[in-house]
Amino acid sequence: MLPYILKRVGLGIIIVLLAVALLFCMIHLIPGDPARIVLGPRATPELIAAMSARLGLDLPFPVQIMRFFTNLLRGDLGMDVITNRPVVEIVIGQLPYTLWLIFCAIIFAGLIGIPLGCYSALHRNTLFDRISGVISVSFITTPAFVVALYALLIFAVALQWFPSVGAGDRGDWLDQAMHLVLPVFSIGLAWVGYLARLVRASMLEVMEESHIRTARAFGLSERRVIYHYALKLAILPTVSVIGVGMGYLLSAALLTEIVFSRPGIGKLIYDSVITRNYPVVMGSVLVSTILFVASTTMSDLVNAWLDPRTRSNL
Amino acid sequence: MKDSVLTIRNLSVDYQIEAGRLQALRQVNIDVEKGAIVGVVGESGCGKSTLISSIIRLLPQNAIIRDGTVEFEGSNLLDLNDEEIRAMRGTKISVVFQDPMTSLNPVLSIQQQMMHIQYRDQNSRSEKLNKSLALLESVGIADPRTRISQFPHEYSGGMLQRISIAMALQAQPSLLIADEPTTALDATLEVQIIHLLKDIQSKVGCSVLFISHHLGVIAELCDSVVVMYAGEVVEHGTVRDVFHNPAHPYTRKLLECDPAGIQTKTRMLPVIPGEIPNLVNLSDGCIFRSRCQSALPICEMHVPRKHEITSTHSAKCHQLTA
Ligand SMILES: Nc1ncnc2c1ncn2[C@@H]1O[C@H](COP(=O)(O)OP(=O)(O)OP(=O)(O)O)[C@@H](O)[C@H]1O
Ligand SMILES: [Mg+2]
Repeated sequence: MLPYILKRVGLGIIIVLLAVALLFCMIHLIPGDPARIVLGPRATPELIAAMSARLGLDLPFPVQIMRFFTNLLRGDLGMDVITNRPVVEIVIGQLPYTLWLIFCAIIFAGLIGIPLGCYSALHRNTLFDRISGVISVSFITTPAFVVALYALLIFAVALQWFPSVGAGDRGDWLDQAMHLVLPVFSIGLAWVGYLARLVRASMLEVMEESHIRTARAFGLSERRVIYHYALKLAILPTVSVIGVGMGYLLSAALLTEIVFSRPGIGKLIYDSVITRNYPVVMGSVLVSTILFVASTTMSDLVNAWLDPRTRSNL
Repeated sequence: MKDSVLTIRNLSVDYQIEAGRLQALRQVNIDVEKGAIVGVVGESGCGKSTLISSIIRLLPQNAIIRDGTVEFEGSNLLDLNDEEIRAMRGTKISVVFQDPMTSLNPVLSIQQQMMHIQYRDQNSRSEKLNKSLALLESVGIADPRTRISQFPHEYSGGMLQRISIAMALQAQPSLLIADEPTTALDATLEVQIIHLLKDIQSKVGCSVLFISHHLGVIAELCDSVVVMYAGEVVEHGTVRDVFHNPAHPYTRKLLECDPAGIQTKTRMLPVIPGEIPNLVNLSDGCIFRSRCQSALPICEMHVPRKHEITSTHSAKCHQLTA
């Protein structure tokens, strides 16, 4: 297992570096001067030249990319052009909000979606299965920000069960948890439906496989057959999908954070794009990339832990 | 007659499909005596797997047992409730399935799977492990102590089939059912597995119901043979009876088509012309008549009855009675 982990993590690091290099090139190759963008249309040439020097944009491109990577390795993502604070500090400050949001959304989706899918598969074509199918599909097709808006209107404004704005007081865990409920519900709901459909489909497939018949032919209990012999296989595609899905959750989080005025990476990207805060945009996108690669790597590792065939393949 | 372990009488099984009812088994009678090895032979689709699934009651959801009894050690398996039949599986009756590569769970180690099937025993973990190791040793797995923690994909097909046999013998069943255990293996492995089965059978003393479409294997291993065609038993007798004195035209054709039995050199392997009839909405008459070269007018009208040729040999063909 250890060689597999090392290989997979190594691969993850390479992917991040490549993605970052690509991102860097893209920003520099597309027309438009970042310094001019930061300063806006009415900037004087002198101001633009000064900003270029401050951002290091006046240097030759290879030098810029070298500097970018050496700074990156030292954990330096540059300075916020508006507040003049280190970008790393800002991004790290916002990260936990988004991580909690995504993490809780996945847990929420998994805790409801996976058992729902299992139960539907084992009670195929019953009324329950049909209803859960219809509900799942409607969950999947409703965009997160629509759910967010309605959740806000119903549970925060009309019923006043949950708070509507922000992330709660620092240090007050209960308050923070209460503030998480609606955003988590908004971005997790589609995933409840998605995971339910996915688990149902793979469960149905696995239950038809001949090793399940063997397990039954040895008189193993139906519980062991389902939860040990079938689910361990049926869960594999779900784990991969969750890994990739973190990326989609990240973009769902962006809109949700805006709707609920929550701090977080999504809100940070939005605000810094609006204010043309180029180093902060760069830093947040970088962190999102790392987050995405880390979550796919994690899901691959979980898969390898569950499935010995993957382990010996790489 | 010796005491029977398994007595199947008039077993009829249908599959409910869109086109109607597919009559997969019709009035099947089979006896397995204590300590005997009985072969079941027939081409693909003749209902061999349906037969096995009916015995251990693991038929697909759309199957309907229309008629018949399956007597096993004094009780009718078809009358048992779910818990009672589950108590039989893997203890009194064990099955070795067709394709060893897919019949073991790919994400559980051999050790886990061998330990799980001993769940009924009160033994400690280490006793169960030792028993598993001894079983693997007995089927010829070298170095079982290191290999037992491996997963199915780390074994070859032949080894997996040995493991399946070891697992099936774990509780010393009185009936071992083997569903084409060698079809997925190449010829040399096939011989090894057959010898292993024969060896083990003489040691354990269990009865064996051996399914195959390979006549040579049946002749080598079995005491008696049941020839099935399209869901019916068409001939039944000792290996000697059936191979030296085949009574049903289908059996004769099967023997002619067996590559091992062909004496003269030919470029074309002989085949039985035609195919198994559609088993939905069966009409009256002999099931084999459309492929039979010596069909009589009566074959169109009546299903032939079982005809006793000797006390051990019988067949269902109008020519025997005409
Ligand atoms: N689940 C099912 N639903 C409908 N028909 C089925 C089902 N399973 C089997 N059948 C049909 O029942 C008949 C007998 O099938 P069975 O699998 O018992 O044959 P077999 O002798 O085991 O064949 P093989 O040598 O290919 O394994 C075939 O006509 C098959 O198409
Ligand atoms: Mg079969």
